[in-house]
Amino acid sequence: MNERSAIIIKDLHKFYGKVHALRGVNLEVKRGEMYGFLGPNGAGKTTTIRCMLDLIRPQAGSIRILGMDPQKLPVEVRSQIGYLPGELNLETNIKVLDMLRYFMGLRRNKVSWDYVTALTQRLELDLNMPVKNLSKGNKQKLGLVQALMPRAKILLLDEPTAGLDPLMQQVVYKMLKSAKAEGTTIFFSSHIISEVEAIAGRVAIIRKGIIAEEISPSQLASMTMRKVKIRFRKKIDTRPLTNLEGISLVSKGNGMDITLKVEGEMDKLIKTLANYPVGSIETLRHSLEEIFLDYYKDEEKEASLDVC
Amino acid sequence: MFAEFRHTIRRLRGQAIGWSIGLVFYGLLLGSMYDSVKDMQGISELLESYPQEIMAFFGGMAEMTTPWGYLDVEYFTLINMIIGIFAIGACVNLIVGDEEKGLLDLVLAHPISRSRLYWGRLLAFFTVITTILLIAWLSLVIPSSAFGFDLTPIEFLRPFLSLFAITMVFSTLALLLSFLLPSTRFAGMLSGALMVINFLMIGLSRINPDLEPFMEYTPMFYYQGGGAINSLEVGWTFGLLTTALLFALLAWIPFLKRDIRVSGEHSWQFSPILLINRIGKKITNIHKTIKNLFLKKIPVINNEGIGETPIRKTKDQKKNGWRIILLAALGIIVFYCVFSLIIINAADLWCDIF
Repeated sequence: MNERSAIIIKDLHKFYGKVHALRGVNLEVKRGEMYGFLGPNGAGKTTTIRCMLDLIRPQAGSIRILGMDPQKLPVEVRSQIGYLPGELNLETNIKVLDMLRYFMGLRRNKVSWDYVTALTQRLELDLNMPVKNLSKGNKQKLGLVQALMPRAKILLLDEPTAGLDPLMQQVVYKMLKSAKAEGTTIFFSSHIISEVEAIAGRVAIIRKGIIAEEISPSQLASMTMRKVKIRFRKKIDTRPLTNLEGISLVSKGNGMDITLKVEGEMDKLIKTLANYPVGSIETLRHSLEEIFLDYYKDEEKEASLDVC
Repeated sequence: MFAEFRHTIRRLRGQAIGWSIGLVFYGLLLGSMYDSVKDMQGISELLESYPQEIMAFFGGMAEMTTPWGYLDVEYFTLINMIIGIFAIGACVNLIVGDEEKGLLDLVLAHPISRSRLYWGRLLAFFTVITTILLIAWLSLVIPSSAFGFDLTPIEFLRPFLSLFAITMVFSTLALLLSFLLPSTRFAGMLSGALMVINFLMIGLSRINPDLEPFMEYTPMFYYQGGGAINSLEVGWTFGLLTTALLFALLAWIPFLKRDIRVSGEHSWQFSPILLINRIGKKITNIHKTIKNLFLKKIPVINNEGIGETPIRKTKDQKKNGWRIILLAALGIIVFYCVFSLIIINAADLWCDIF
């Protein structure tokens, strides 16, 4: 056991009936690291996190959290973890204040109430509001407060900024960075590429229940693609544009509207467009799902060819 | 455990207050009418004119003018059903209800063991039921002299002990079924149906003595109602409580090891069901064999031109699915009856010896 590791997962397998949800997940997260965990829907992100918390039991493989086995020492492991579930379900007939006091009680009141109020103030969360009256974003804030309030050594965050407005997302990033500065290990899943780029130190990509790759945020950025919608003032010949390196045609409307897919930098495209009568340009960034689909398309083709 | 206990009390308090107020009014209303029944001229003649079947169904009707007879017929015959409905509803939602709503994930991500969660909540439920029954008891004891009941508080207490015991049996059964069956609704429905059928069968057995030997296999037989005012069968009450404890243990042990479902996940797969999971492959094979017996094998040619018999859901198969569910329900009922009888008789014997 490496003492510098906060999380070690080895050859983790999990079946749901006949569905093989995790097919040998291997990963290692160092102490104090901010680790992004990405993957398309149904890839096994939440299943891996739930195994770490001993909410579900894997059929094979091992997990060590700060050197402890969650199946043997679930309470000890969970006392070191702050968790935000991806699908946050909360009781409704209770005030935010009472809910947080209840969570404090579950941690045997080892949480500073002053720190809790500081967190709620920072996230602008009203303590006297009944949970049933909270918006999705405010429920997410409550989830974040309960995850951050124990000042745990490890934070497991499933989509931490889901439902939050951009300003509040920035506040959360700052809070996570300051937690990291205090030595907290942060393991989070996300669908927002900019979020991963902004805060993660390392990124693992899980796909079909197995870690497909472990990369740096800069490598992730290079994987990203953009769609560019261009409206011209008159009909044009698009060939000089589509012949550019890293650019391909997605759709062509009436000859005045085109959509291009751009991989990497946009410099060449913009310089070439200077010669055209451009009406408007709209840039769309690919979602994580689209990137995964595109990125693994060739691999799947190869796999299907192998089968044939 | 205390945090969970306190939180569950908090969650149940609204329902507890509502049910307590209802039972207080029920007690006061029936108690206030006793004076007029007691002094009613010709009540014995009126009762004798009733069909024998009705007299038998409600037990102590012949002694309606006595406090115990009146309370037995008017109060304790039905209160076990009333309190039972609340208890079953609360118990099926105690843990599995939260699991279905996806609330358990976040709670169990905190440093609390499953045992503490389970017993904390169950203890809170027992406390709530005890409080409700205590309030109901007080609503009879405090105004008893004004109502003309010539009974001591202890005499009033005895039927409530029997009532507490029978309520615990059906509520822990509901808890156990909520872990075994695919949804809390189904568990609540089955537990409620068992309770009502048992109640009706006990009434019918008084009309038809041929049914009486079979009733010994059911827990309601050991509920004394108003009859306990004169003498409480300690062995029966203790037996019922032991049965309740065993049901609670049967629900607790598998909860320690099973997967916590994500909200909305339900399954009628037999394999993940706790006890069956232990027996493992053998049971799964039996399940498969039963399933295959009912399946229609449809030959299909696949891409490689080979004939196969894939599983395809037909109308018959859906019907057969229900047959399997009913068979499972029947199995549970038989297990529950035999189990109750063994425990209660053993406890009764133990009490007789000591």
